[in-house]
Amino acid sequence: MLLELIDRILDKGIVIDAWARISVLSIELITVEARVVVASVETYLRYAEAIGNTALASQPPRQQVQQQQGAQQQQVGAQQAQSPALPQPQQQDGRQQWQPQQMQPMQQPQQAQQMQQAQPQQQRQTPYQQPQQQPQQQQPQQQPQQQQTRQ
Amino acid sequence: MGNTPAQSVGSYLYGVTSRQPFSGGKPFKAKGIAGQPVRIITQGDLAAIVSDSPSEEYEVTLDNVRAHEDVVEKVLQRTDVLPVSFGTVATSDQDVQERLLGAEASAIHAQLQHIAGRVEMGVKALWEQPALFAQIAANDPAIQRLRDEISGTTVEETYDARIELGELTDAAIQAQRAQDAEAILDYLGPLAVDTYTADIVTDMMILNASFLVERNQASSFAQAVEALGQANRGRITLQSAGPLPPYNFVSVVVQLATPEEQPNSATTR
Repeated sequence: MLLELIDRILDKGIVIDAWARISVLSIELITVEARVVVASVETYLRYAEAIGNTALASQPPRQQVQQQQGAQQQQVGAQQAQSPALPQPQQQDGRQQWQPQQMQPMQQPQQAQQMQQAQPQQQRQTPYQQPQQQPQQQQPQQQPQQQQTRQ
Repeated sequence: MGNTPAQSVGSYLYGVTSRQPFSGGKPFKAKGIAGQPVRIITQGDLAAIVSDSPSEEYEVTLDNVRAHEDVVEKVLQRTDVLPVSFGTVATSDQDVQERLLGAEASAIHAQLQHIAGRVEMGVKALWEQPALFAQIAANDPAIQRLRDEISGTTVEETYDARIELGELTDAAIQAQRAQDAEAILDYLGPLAVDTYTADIVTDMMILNASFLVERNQASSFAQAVEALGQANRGRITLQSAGPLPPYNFVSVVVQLATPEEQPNSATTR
């Protein structure tokens, strides 16, 4: 929460050098907290462990709660990934039933269209009225591969 | 900060805006940092939101940061505002009028124009960890081979294989991040006037972005984020925040420092 706010309001907006009055102690604290994500040996070992757990997920759920959770979430992921049609099936089968669309990352919500069409109503609901003409809002791009055809 | 006797050492600055929304009409009432009442001071057609500053300097505490943010957000509810960075204290109101509102008027006007009628929306996208690792494992034979190799072994037994597996996974995560982030930006970018991407701060984070959107489209933008999150449920979590003051779309750095005003060791940024 604090970090989130700091991230937003420190050194952002209008910055006036001579009037900056932030205690040095605070600055040291922030520097410690705002560490960059850097991969290390620990990270690699952690990733290896996490990948190792993906093998367990395809087996029947274990007694351990953690593993069960992992497995359940994986099923969600698997269902997700199955739903969109793949433009070019590129993977040899047999390994895993589901293919998270080999790097076709995001599924675009179908509602996007409806949302755009519903615009005029939404404008009325917003507290800030803008009397001007409808801003040039482009439709979210429809990328053919993101069209969902359910099977 | 609490109840320090209100002996003012200067004017604490929250934001800069146009004068018009504050001239006449309903008064603007708010409590600022250290509970100080907020005032509007003006110069030409510009206004600054300030309060007396009882402190020489400010610590980055939740109370302080929130007090600052609350005032700026309250101004945002009334009109467009250029937020001032946390912990900015001028020696006096007159200093604000002359050296900021007066001397920097043209830069301020330009920035006000850029954000006119617009607000900032923050979007953070994060992977669901199990789904991400499952996807990475499913897509890479080398990773699967190493996964089988370490299966049922201890860290000591397969240390090298684990490091190699970790490195491959790290590379896969980075590639996936670039791809997912681009897809999100492709989807949300067209709904915004301007986009700003900040560094990611956790290894499950895909995107840490801010979007400048028309005020009257803030709620439909939030709905678009929501819809994107729904469509990717189980794999990606999207968090949106806003409407917020446009901190990430206001870039005015005012260099006033004269030799005697050079930040010393006690007060610096």
